[in-house]
Amino acid sequence: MLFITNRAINGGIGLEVGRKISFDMSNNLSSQSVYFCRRNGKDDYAEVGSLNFMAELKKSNVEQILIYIHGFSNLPEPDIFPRAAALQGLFDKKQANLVLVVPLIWPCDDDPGIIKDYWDDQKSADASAFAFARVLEKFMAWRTKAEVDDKEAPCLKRINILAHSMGNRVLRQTLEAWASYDRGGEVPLLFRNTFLVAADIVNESLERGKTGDYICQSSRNVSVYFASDDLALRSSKVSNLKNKVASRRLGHTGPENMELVPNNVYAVDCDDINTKYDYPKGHSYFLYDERGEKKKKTGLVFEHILDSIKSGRVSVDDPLRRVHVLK
Amino acid sequence: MDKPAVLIIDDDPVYLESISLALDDHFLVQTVSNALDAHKIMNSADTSFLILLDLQMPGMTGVEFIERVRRENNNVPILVVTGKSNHAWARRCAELGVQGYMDKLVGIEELISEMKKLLIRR
Repeated sequence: MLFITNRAINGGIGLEVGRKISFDMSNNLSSQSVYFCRRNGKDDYAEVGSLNFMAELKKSNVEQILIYIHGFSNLPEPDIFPRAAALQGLFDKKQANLVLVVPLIWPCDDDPGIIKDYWDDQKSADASAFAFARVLEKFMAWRTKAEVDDKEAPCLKRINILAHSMGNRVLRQTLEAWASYDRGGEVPLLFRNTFLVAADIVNESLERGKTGDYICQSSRNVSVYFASDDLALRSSKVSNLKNKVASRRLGHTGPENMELVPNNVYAVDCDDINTKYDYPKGHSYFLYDERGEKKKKTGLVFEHILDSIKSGRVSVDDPLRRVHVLK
Repeated sequence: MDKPAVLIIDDDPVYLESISLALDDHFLVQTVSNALDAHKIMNSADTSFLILLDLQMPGMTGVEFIERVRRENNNVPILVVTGKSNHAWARRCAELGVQGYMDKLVGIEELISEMKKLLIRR
């Protein structure tokens, strides 16, 4: 599995294609260096380098790429890779060679004490923005070079993003940093679909002129999956009280006002299924429906995501209001 | 018609997760993280399996597993699916009559097609 990370590595930061690398999992320092890597097996990672990485994605026989940005308190081996693998397995089950899942790993840790853990992970998410903005710049440079050189066919793969929980904060801050520092206050339309699942950002974030507006500018479609009884997002509310901010989270309510967000934003209400898929937290509900005899049947959120990836359109009950209820 | 039974032997839980999900519409999938337990499962099960086998595993390696199975005159079809390969392993697997040898990076379609071919030959 290919992945990108800004976790601090043990060893020098200079690029060495093929070298084995390891990470200090207790260190959630957000490195400003990014590493394009391959996971060969458990705790077995090798550096690939950005150019090889992108060339490999281009030549792979999949149609589309899905960048998966994980949530807080997730570590690579016990949490992130298994979830990315589950996503990959579900896509492969539905249609071989449709999607390649590429985790984008930022350095959260799993400290004891959920509030403290949450708080330092939130800082780490924000601090990761510059590193991942560099990833986007590297991609643009690679793409432009290929166009200028004109030696090979352009890469026609579509890119999608799935950001879960605090991964939404990473995405929002990354695009903001990229727009502000590298792109003159704008971002190009890079992604086909952006899926914001259980988003741990303020529910006004996507409104025009707010920081999350860049998410809408960079993607053809933005689907917001939310559930009012998502218990994990409660810790977010509690943690942010530290700064006297009692905000509503996007993953709890969906966009605060659909009239204030761009027309490519869709709100998908998952209230009826989130706790059935992920009991009792109701937070990680984008993979299986584990109920009934057949464990690991694909869930409705996954099916909705799959449909959007295949068609490039988001199907909703009410196209005028751009809202949908999954049940 | 009953789905054919497949036993996947690999010490990487991440690979087992993705591959079992991808295959379970086509096969009756059972996974196991080490070769010793796989051997026990094979000996106690009523079903005959197609084996998907990793080579580099702690404890009994994939090659040692094949040697043991073949010593017992068990000609169960084995498809080696490995992330790390070398010439010596590949040659030894061929000597032991392994029916297929693929890289882990192979696409799922190709893997399923190869598995089905092996099952037809059986």
